[in-house]
Amino acid sequence: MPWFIESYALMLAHALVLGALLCVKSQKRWQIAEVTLLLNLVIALSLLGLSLAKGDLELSNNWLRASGMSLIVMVLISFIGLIVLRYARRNLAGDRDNARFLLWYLATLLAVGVTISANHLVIFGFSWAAISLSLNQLLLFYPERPRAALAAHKKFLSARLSEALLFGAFALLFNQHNSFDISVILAHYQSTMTITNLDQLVALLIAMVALIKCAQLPLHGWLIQVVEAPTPVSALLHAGIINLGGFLLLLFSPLLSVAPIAQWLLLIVAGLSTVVATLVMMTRISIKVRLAWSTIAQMGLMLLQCALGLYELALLHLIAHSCYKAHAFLASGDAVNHFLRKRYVQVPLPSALSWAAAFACVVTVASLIIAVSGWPPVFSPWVLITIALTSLLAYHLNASNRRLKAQAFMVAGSGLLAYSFFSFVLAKLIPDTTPEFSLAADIWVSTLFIVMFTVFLLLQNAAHLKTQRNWFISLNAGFYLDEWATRFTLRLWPVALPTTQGKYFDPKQQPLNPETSLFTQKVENTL
Amino acid sequence: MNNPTIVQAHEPMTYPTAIVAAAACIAPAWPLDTAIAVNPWWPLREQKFSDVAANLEAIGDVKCLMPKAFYRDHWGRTISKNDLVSAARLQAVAENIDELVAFLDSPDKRLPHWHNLSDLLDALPAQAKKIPWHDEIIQQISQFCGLYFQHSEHIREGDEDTDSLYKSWLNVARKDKGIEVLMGEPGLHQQFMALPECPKSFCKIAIETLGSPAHLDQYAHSLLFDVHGWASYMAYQAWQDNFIGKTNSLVEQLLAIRLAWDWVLWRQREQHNSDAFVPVRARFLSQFEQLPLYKQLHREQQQLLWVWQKALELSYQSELNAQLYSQLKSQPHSPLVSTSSHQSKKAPILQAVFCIDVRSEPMRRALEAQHPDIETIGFAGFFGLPIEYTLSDSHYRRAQLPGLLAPAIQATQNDREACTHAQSQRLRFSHNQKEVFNAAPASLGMVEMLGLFKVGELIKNSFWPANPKHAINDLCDDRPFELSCNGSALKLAEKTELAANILTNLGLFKRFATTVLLLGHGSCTANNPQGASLDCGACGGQSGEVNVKVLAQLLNDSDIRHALRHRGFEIPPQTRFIAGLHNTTSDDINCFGAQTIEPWQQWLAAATERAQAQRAASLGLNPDLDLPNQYRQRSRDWSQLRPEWGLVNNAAFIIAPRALTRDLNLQGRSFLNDYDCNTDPNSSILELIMTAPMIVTNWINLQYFASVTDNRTYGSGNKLLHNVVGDHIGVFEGNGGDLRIGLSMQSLHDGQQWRHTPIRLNVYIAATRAAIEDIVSKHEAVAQLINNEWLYLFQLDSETKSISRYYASKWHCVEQNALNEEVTS
Repeated sequence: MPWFIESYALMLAHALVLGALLCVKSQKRWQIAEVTLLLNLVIALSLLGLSLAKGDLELSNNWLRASGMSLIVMVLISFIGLIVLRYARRNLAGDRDNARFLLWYLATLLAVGVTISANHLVIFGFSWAAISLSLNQLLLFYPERPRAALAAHKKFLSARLSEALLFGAFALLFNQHNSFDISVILAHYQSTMTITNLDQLVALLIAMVALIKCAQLPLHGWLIQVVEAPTPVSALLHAGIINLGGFLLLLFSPLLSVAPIAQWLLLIVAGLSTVVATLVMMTRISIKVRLAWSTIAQMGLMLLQCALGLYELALLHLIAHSCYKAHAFLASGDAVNHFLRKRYVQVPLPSALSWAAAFACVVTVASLIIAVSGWPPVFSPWVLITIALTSLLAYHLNASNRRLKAQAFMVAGSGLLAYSFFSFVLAKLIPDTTPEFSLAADIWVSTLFIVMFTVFLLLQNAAHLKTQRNWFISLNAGFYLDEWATRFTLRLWPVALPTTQGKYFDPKQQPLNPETSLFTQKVENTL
Repeated sequence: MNNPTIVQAHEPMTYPTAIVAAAACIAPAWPLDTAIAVNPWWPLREQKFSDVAANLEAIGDVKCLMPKAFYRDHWGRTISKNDLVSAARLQAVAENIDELVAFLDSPDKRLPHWHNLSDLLDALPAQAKKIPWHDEIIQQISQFCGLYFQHSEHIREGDEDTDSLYKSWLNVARKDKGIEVLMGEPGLHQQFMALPECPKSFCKIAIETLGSPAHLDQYAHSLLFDVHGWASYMAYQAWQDNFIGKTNSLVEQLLAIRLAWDWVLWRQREQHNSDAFVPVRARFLSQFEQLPLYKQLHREQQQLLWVWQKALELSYQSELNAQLYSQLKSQPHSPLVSTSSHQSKKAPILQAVFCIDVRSEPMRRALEAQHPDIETIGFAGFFGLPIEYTLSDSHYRRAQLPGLLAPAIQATQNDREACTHAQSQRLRFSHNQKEVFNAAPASLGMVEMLGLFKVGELIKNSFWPANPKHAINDLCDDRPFELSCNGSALKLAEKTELAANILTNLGLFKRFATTVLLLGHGSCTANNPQGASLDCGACGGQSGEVNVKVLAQLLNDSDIRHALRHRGFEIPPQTRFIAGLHNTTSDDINCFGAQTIEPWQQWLAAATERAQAQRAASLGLNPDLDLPNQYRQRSRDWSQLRPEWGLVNNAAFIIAPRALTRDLNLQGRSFLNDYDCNTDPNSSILELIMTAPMIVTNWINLQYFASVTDNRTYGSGNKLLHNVVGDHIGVFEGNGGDLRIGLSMQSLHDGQQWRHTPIRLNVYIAATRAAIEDIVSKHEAVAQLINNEWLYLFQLDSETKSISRYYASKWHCVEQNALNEEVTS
C-alpha cells in the first residue's frame, strides 16, 4: 500500500495548513481552523478504517510512521481538538486576546500531530518539546495571575527535566542502534527477549519521562494549579496533552515489556500516585481541582496498565478518559444543576446491606465467567472492575424503585460488554509483544486497589472517628508533597511571582523605612 | 483537666466592639443556586455614599467610582456641558469646565492607604522571591472555609459550639505542616499552637498586643476585605439564621481567623527576625494614627470624580426628565385623576401583568404595539405571594420571594405517583450515575467501562445541543398546587385574603379583560453556574413560574372569586387568568395550559418577534437570518458566556400609571411598577412599593454599579476561569483565592466596552409629596438611601405637571430643561 503513507503525509500537510493559518489575520480564521480540523478527523478516521480492513498495521518511511495505535491516538486528538476548538470559539468571543489563544492552540495541536506521526527520534524529541512550550503559552494565557505563574514556573522546570531525560534516552538509543528510525529500533526489541543494561537504562529514562509528563506525584502540583487557565485549555490539557506519557510508553512497549526495572518504577510511583490522588480528590472543594486530581489518578492507572503489560487496556483507558475528562471540564458549569438534583433526590449513601448485595451480585457473575473461561492471566484489572461494578450497583440498589434497579443492571452489563469488546478490538492494534505477566506486580497493584477502596469506605462512613478526620486533613493537604516541591523549585530557581497584592501595595511609592518615608512626606506635603 | 467553670470565667462572653462593628459592615452574598442581587454597601447605608467611597478606598483600596478614563470617554458623548455645569454646582465645587476636564487628563495620584501587617512584610526585599503572604493567607483561609462548609462532617469541631468555625480552623492549622515548608518559615507552627482556643479571648489578646489603638474597627474591616467573598457568604448565613430568630458569629470568627494570621506573623517575626521587624512594626502601628489623614486625602481626590459621576447621572436624568415632562404635559387629563375614570372605561381586550424587571419594559412595549387596547401592568414578579416551592416527594424547598423576606406559605404540587414520575426517575438515575463517577475508587473502572460513551454527548453538545435541562424547574408541570402554612392547608378565607391583597396592589377591582395573562420570567442558559442571577430576583433568583401558576389558580377558583365578589372585586365570569413565563434569554412567552388558538396568542408571537428583532443588535445576532433559531441556539450553547445581558444598564424605577410611560421607549433601562395613587387613599400600597420593590431595585442597581467600579472586590471576574466551589456556594476565579461574589466581567462587558453604565437608581413616583414624605419619615432605611445619595428620588406631579427631587427632606424642582434645580420648599 504505497499510497497509504502518502495520504498520511497529506494529512500532515493539512496540519501544516493549520500552521499557515497561524499567520492569517482573518475574521474567518476560527471557521477555517474548524473546517481544517474536521477534515483532519475525517482523513484520520478513514485511514484507521483502511488499516483495520487491510490488516496492515504498521507502515513507515524515513520520517513518518503510522500504526494502528498512533492512528487511533491521531483520531482522538483531532476529535478532542475539534470539540474544544468549537467550544473555545464561543467561550473566548469578546476576549481581546482570542487570536493569541487560537495561535498557540493550533501550534500545540500541530506539535502533537507531528509527535504522534514521527518516525525519527530527533523529530520526535523536538516536537515533544514544542508541545510543552506552546502549551505553556496557553497555561500562561493570563500571565498576571500569580498561581498561574507559579504553576507555569514549576511546569517549566519539570518539562525541561523530562525533555532532558528524553533526549538522553534517545541519544542512548541512537548510540545502540546507530539509527534514528523508530520503526527499526522497535523492531529490534520486538524480536529479542534479552536486553543490555544500557537498554534497561533507556527504558528507565522513558518511564521517568512518562511519569513526569503524566504529572505523577510528587511533581503533580502544576497540574492542580493550572486550572488558572481558561476552561478550554484545561479540557485540551486533561483530555489530550497529558495522555502523551501513555502514548510514549505504548510506542516503546516492545522495550518496556522486557525492562523490569522500568516496570517497577512505574508500578511504585504510578501506583502510589493513583491511590493518593484518588483519595485526595474526594477531599477537595472546587470542581475543577477535583477533576485535576482525578486526572492524576487516571493517568496513574494508565501507566500501571502499561507496566503490567496490559497495553490494550492502557490504550482503552487513554481514549475513554480523554472523552470523559473533556466532557467533565467543558460541562463543569453544570455543577449547580447537579447540586439541585442532589438536593431533590436526597439519596442516602449506600448502606452496608447495599454494598453486600452488590458485591454478592458481582461475585456471582464473576464466578460464572471464571467457570466458563477460566482464570484471567492478570487479575488486578478485574479487581478494579469489581470495585466499579460493586459501587455502581450499591449506589443504584439504594433507590427503591424496581425499574431503576433494572436500569442499573443494564448499565453494568453494557459497561462490562463495552469494556470487553473494546479491549478485544484494541488488542488488535497493539504490536504483539506477548509480555510475561509478573505475579508480584499483579499482587502489588491488586493490593493497592483494595487498600484504596477500604480507605475510601472508611472515610465515607466513619467520618466521626478521630483518625479518619486526621487522614482527611492530611489527604486534603496532599501530604504536603507539593509544598515541598514548590519550596524546592523556588530554592533551586527563585522567581519573583506576580501578586494580586500589586493592587494593595506599591513599594516604589511607599518605602518601608518610616524615617525617610516618601509616604509620610507626602502626607505632610498634601496637608 | 481544666475545670470548665474556671476556663469559662477567663473567657470573655462577647467580641470586642471593633470586631463586631467591622463584621457588621459586610453585606450578605447568596449562594449560586439562589443568587440574587445585593447592594454590597447595604450595611453602610447610614453613611453618605461619598464618605463610604473615601473610607473604603483608604482602608481597602476599594473603588466606588470609575477611573478617570471612563468619564473622559463619556465627556462630549453622553455628558454634555450643561450636565457638567449642573453637577459642579450640585457638588458645590468651584472648578470650571476646563479645570474639570484637565483633572481627568491629569495622571492619578497614588495615595497612601491602609496595609495589613502581612502586606507590609511582603514588601521586604527578603520576601521578593517567595510566595507573598497576602496570597498564601487568602488561599489558606479560603480553602479551609470551603472544607468547613463542604466537608463539615470531616472538619467541624464542636457541633453545637458557637465558635465552631474558629476552632475547626485552629485544629486544621495546627495539623498543617505544609505552610512552614512552603513559606520557608521554621517555627511558624509553634505560633499556631500558641493561639487561644476561644476566638473572643484571642481577639482581646491580639488587640492588647497592638496596644489598643484607635480605629481598630477600620483595621478589622480592612482584614475582612482580604476574605471579602467568604465574609459575604457567612453574612448570608447570618441573614438566613436571622429569619428563624437565631444569631451566629461566623463573620466575627472569620475575622478572628484573619486577625490570627497577622498576629502569628507578628509573633513569628518578633521571635525570629526581630531586627528587621522593628521598622515594619512601627510603620504598621503608625497607620492607626494616620488613617484619618488617609481618608481626608482620598476624599479630596475623589471630590472631582464625584462631579463627573453626577454629571453622568444628570445626563441620563435630563433625557428621561424631558421625556417624562412631555408625557406629563400631553396627558389629556392629569394621569393621577385619569385612571379612576379609566376604571369606568371599557375593559381592555387583553391584560398582561409583567414583572417590574427592566427586561419586561421592551417586551411590554412590543406587546402593546400589537393593539391599542392591550393593557400591560408592571408588578413585582413574585406577585406578592410569600411562598416556598416544595415537592411532595422530596424535602427540597425553594423560596420564591425576595431575599428580604422569609416565606410563610408552602406551595406543593401534589402527586401521588411521584415515585413513578418519569422526570423524577430520570433525575434519580442520573444522580446515582454521577455519584458513582464521583466515588473516587469506582471512577477509575467506571471511566474505563463507560467513558467512551461521552463521545456521544460531546458531539451532541457541540453540534446539536438540546434545550438545557434544569433539575427543579422541569419538575413543575400543570398540576394544581396545594397551599399550606405550617402543615395545614390554607382555608378559603385565607386564600381570599391573599388574592384580595394582590388584586388591590395590582389596582384591579372591576376592569378585567377576558384574558388576564400573569407573566413571570426566567432565563434559559446552559452550563452556567451563575444562571440564577439571570432569573427573577423578586422570586429569590428563580423562575417565576410557580408564583404565576399559583396566582392563576387562586384567581380562577370559583369559590375564591365568589368570596372576592363580596369584597368588591367584580371579576366577570368569563375572565380567565392564564399563567405564562417570559423567557428573558429568547423573549419567548410560554403560556401554561392554554390550548386553543386565541387571537392574543398571535399577539404574543408577534411581540416576541418584535422584541427579538430589537434586541438582536445588542447580542450581535444577524437580523437577516432566522432570529428565533439564533436565540434558541444561544440559550442552548454550553460554551456561551453571554447568553443574555440580564439587567445590564438598569437606571430608573418608575412608580406610576402606565399611561405616563406607554408612549416612551425606555430602552430596557427602567423598572416599571404600575401605581395609581387614586386607588391608594392611605398610601399603603405606595409604602409597600417603597419598602420592598424599591429596596430590591436599589440592591440590583448597586450590585451592577459595584461590580463595574471594582470587579475585584464586588464582582466575580473572568467567567472563563470560573471554578464552582462546594457545588453551589460560589465560584473561585481559577485555582483558588477568595470566594468571588457579584457579577462576572462577561455579564457587564462585551470585550470592547462596558455594557453597564454605573449610575445610581433614579426612582420616579407619581404620588403626592405628602404621601412620599410621610413614608420616608416612617422608614429609616428608605430615608438613608435617599439622603445619603444611594439613589435619587423624584416626584412626578401631574397636577402641576412638574418633576421634583426629594433630597435632605426638601423638594427641589427639576426644570424642564433640566439645567437647574431649585429649592421650592
